Amino acid sequence: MRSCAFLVFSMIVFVPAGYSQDISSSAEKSKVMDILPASDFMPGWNFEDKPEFYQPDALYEHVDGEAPLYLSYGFRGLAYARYADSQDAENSIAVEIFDMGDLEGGFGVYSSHRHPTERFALYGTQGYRSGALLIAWKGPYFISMLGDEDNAITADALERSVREIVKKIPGDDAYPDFLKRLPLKNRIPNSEKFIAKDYLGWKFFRRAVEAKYVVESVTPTVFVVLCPDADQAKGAYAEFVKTISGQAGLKEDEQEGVKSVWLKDPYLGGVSASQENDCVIGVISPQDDLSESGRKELMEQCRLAIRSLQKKE
Amino acid sequence: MDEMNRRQFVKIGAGLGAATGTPLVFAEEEAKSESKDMIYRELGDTKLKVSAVSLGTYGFSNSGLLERALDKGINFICTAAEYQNGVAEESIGKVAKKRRKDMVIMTGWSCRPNSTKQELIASLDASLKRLSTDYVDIVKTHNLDKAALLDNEAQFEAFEEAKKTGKVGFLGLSNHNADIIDVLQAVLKKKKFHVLQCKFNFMEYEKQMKIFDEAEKLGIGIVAFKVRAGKRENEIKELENKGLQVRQAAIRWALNDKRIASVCMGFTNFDQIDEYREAVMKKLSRSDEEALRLYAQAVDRSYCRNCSTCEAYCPNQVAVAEIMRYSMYFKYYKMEKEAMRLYSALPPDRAADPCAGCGGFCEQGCPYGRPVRTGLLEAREMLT
Repeated sequence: MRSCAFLVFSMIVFVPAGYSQDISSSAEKSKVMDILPASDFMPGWNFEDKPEFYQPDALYEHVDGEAPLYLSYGFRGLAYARYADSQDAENSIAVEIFDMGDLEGGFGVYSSHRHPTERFALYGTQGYRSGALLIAWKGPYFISMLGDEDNAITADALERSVREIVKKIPGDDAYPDFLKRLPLKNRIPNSEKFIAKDYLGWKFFRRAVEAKYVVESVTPTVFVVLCPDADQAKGAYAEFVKTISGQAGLKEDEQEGVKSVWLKDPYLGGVSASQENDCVIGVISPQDDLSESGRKELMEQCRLAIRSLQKKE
Repeated sequence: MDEMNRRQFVKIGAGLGAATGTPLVFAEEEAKSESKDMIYRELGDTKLKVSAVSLGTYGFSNSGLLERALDKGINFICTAAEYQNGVAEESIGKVAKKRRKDMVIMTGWSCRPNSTKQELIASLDASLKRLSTDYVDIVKTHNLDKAALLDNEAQFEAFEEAKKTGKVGFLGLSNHNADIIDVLQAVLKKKKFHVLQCKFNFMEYEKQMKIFDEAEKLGIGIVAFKVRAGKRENEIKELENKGLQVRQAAIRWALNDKRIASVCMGFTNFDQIDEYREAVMKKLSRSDEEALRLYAQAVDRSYCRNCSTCEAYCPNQVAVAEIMRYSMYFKYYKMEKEAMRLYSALPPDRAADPCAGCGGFCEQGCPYGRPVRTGLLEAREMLT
């Protein structure tokens, strides 16, 4: 027992704290590690090294400065593996599968990595490949893969491995419900984002969704700050009004008992906001070139989207 | 473990002055900065004047936040092509269109073992387009974590060509590895870099001192990150309500070393701009040092490294490392339900039930002297 303990000690003690290591299996680890493609997912390919698992407290060791982003979206665990072609070791890919805990977290991280102009494909719920980089998302899982070479062989490996991964992820290709609070009309497809904290740089706007629209040849942003209930939305809206209250050009409006504000913010451009039930909604026009009627129309569409959703609930 | 005394604290790392012979410069306790301007330092021989706190931009998408940071004098922007596949650079570019002259921009390319000069230049060109500029002050090899990557001459050839065409001024690198010394020693031998970006904090700095000495002689500018040594101030009872002071003290501690030109921090809200700006405008005080000492002592004592060494000493095969992790999720990550679910999913013979009647052999095995048994009993209470 003592010699065994010493052997274990000498094998383990110098492993950096929190770094990937062969720890005892856990539900958390196996949930995401099991989704990795098998070592021979492609003929002639194998693991280059042993796959690794990173818990939240060790994520920094793998992604460093990127860690706060993932942690803010509810990161639970990362499975990481490298695969190489036995015929040509220069053909290799690195696969990262982030377990973000839930659908919102998975979508949130993915949305922070996507640009509306990408050529999207059905990798899971959605994804795209740009050269040797492939990004995808399904449910709570965000998948990021990078080939060491940008050629047809690694492109094929990336495509095959992502299909292997998404096959193993249970559930359907649903999008989070909170996106239904954004109006559909004139929305730029794939511009939706979920921001998990400090929306627009304000602590009182904790969680929000936004999307870009095309209206009157300009591209404003509509946002919906998601609050737990109407009271907290009221509080968040009040904080916002208080924060901007000293600024020149602030206009306040009230129609049919609904209050709203509009101003030209020095950093954001034209911003309007209002409370709608458990949300704070708003429109941002960075060049302040959206007409008042265009802005009001967007706000109204947003209200209708939220009310329609709440009726169904 | 006995209460940490000042000598032990110095040994761990927070007493920079005593360890290096460079006197710590303490402010008078009540001193306030009279200057309203940001502090700027020269970035090694580049002579670039950079703000003592710089903006780290992974996850960044808020152009308004950047504009406000520029208004407050923060002029040094650190980014990389990899960050959200270009989204961070694009957000910076929206501001650079009108305020490029207010910014010192460092962006990064990813140099892999087989990267070619053409690929790196193409990456830089794509970055310039996203950044809405025709030049960056510094291009860095992002995430240079293996010394072997320095063998790829393509990064140096690409830099020279980019410099000739006016696209870039200087070459840097960032290193994120837990064990950075081998890499940094190889970097210094190469004598091709002008800027080094790496972690530097009051808990783990000793090995880097000689590296920084050499870098200084070579005129290499140094940018520090990970200055907060794990961001665990919320876990420490003695530092309740002192979170802000600890965060600011960690920045001041790093800047107390004049070789550090700038401390790179991530920003997500406007309050942080003022917080970090205030941090650099004041010198390290004795009460700052005390806060860091308390942090170092508490973390050293309580921080479970999940090394599992103690498990070899447990006669009951309790999953100590797992349970400590779930305890941390519950207490500090606010993942209560998930932590309880994970604990309940453990095989019954690996849960902490036997710990109440056990002599605590795990504590004999902990190389850090942690009160392991106490932690397990607390975890069982919390997670059941």
